Amino acid sequence: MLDVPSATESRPLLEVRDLRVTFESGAVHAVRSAGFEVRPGERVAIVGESGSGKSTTCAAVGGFVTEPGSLVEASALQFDGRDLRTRKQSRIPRQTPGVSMMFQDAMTSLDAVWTVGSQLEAVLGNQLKLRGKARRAEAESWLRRVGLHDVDRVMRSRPYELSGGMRQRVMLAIALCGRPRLLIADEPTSALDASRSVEMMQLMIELASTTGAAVLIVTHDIRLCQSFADRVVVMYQGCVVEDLPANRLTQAAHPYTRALVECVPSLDNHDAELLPTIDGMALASNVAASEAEARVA
Amino acid sequence: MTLRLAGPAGDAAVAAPAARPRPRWSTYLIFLPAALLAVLAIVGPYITPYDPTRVVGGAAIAPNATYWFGTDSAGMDVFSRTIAAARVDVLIATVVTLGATLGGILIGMFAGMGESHGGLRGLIARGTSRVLDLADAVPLIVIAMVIVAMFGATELSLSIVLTIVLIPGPARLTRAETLRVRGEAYLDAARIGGMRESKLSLRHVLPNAAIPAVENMSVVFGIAVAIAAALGFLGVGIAPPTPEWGSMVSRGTSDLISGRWWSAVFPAVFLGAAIVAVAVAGGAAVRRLRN
Repeated sequence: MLDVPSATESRPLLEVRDLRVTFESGAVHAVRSAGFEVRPGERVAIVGESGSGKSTTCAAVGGFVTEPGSLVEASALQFDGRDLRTRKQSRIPRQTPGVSMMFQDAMTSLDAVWTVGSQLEAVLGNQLKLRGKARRAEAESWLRRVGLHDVDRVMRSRPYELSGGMRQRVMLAIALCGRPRLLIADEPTSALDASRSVEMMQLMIELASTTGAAVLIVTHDIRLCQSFADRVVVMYQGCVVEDLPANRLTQAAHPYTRALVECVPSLDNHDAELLPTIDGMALASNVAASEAEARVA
Repeated sequence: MTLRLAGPAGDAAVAAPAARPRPRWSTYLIFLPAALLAVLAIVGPYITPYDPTRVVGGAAIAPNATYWFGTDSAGMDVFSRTIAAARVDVLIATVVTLGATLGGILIGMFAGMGESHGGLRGLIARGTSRVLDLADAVPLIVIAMVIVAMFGATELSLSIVLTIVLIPGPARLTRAETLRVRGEAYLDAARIGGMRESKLSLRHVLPNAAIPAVENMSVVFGIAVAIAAALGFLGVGIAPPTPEWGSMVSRGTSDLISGRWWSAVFPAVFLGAAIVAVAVAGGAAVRRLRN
């Protein structure tokens, strides 16, 4: 694990307390109680099954909950000393300075009308106020940093002329080139195959650490968390049920986390006939009790 | 675990796509008819063997070596008039196509972007959409006839009228496309990247939403030529002796009945060929741009 210098002493970069997100005027509770911190330069993974509220939590942090009738509440939601609750909630998502986002699908996150180069340069122009040759040089250097060869041609290509992996790299360049303090990556590797996703994660983590950006990764792949995150936040049914260092994942207190870890195939259980599975609904009734138990412990 | 460092060159570098091969020259032949039409429209009036607006010989002479397409019932040279008419018809259709497409794109984008808004803006946007639907229920040629009859037919008035009449098509295309584009993830990605809404509309919504309307331009051109000619045929278009295909066909019809086919058939053939030439070139251009 890479060291994050003095990460534990410093003030949190992002602080989320008692986050609640409701949709359709309170009829749907997507996030019931989420709370965690991200320190400068730290890599935090949010894991959980589909519908556990992990993506919504990120959307709320990024100012991305824009559906009519939705409501974001929290007792604390601050980023870099700024209270995010004062952000105007509108139908149109706005930039939160210092926060950058990376989406699941790189195909639709790029506009097919414009070349990759012009889109990357537009972001550099918007965020770093670069112009002309300096901007172009910076764009090219970012494409090189994300591991793309033949930068000239990539700059002139349109998104549909690139492969999925290349587009994902371009998105990573776009996400990081504005020097964000926090990169929120919502399932950044779900469109890639297993070996590519490890490669992609490695690249993302490595580039983020060179720019000093903290990373908040949403994923349902607990194994990726173990290898790439400093801390893992486990969400279940809209609540954060566990928040612990990644290397202590195997000593998790909460039964859901333990179940998540156990159902990953590994060398230890390779001879098992059946992998353990999680019965989501049956477990739901036990959550409250186990939570109390975990707290006591 | 340890992190492998992907150096500046990158250990997982990915090659860029190969350049597309240049198409063979013969594939450009499909644009030849439209190019000829454009040339004819530009030089047509200068290369006529006779003055297209004067009586140059006897009435209703059959096509021969002197008068290639014969003369009409007034004694004007049909060949001179037919090629001179290309300018009038093509000019009007070009202006109308550009005007209607541009106007339609702007109106359609305004409607598409504003429809879900509250307040006055949303009200106007929704109203615009309904007016566009309503315009579809009225036959184009009737509206055009009424307005031209009121204001008189000159090249300018005809262009304005046809533009207004043809705007709903591209406008509705653009509106529908705008509604689709508004949901695209790259818009949110650009917003998160700090792009302002006005710039976003110009840079991302406009070019994406305008594509169907631009692809449809050759169709609008054909309709414009046809309506301009139809108004000429009905007698409310550009008045003779200014050469115009529609009015030439109209005046030639009475000759046609008595067997003097040339004064109606030649302009009719040019009219049809012009529409087909532009439609074919437009279709080819769209296919080329899509691949």
